[in-house]
Amino acid sequence: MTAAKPTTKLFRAFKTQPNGQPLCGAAGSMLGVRPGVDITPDGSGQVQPVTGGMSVTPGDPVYLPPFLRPASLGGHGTLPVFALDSNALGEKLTYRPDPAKPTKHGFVEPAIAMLLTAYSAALAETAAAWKVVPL
Amino acid sequence: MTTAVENYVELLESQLLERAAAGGGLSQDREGEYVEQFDLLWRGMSPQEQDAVEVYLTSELAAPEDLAFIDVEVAEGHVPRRAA
Repeated sequence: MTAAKPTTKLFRAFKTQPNGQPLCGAAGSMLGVRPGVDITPDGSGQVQPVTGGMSVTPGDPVYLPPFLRPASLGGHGTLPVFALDSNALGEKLTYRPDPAKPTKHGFVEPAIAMLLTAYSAALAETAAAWKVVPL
Repeated sequence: MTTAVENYVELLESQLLERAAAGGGLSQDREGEYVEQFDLLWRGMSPQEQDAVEVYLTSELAAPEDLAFIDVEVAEGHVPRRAA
């Protein structure tokens, strides 16, 4: 028997699709990563674990950066804030707190080495699991 | 205020002015463009500079609410809190 992996509530603001799910793509306001900014693929197009990934805020949306935080939480963001439990990331993805500021920032990273395209697809597969947080 | 914090504040002022000119809200594509610019600025800041932005936001964005509170007190015949 393996021990249950501890779960963390993850928050991020997204542009939305007409169906209400996060919009997927390579931008800071989308469900995805910007190559060379959020994570850098190697020469063969692969991304590695523990090298960065899509930024998220753990635990409490009050720790979102101010440009993503809504006015009700003292920020100036207007995009909807979504939440997801880290145990909903699946086997290809994993959550890692940012060692520099573990209570305020973290990464949804590839769990194993994979092509950037596969990592982006794995992120997109979580779209339905993200739920809007009323703030 | 450091250059990075000044750049953030200038971008924020642009965003707020553009929202006001648009009647309060921008398209999510335009807001996404602002997020991209803020994100790149934010990543380049030290923790101290990020804290300075938060302090600025606390003081500047809270001001209209404080003014509204004072107006209500004056209207009700009370001495404004901030009157010396």
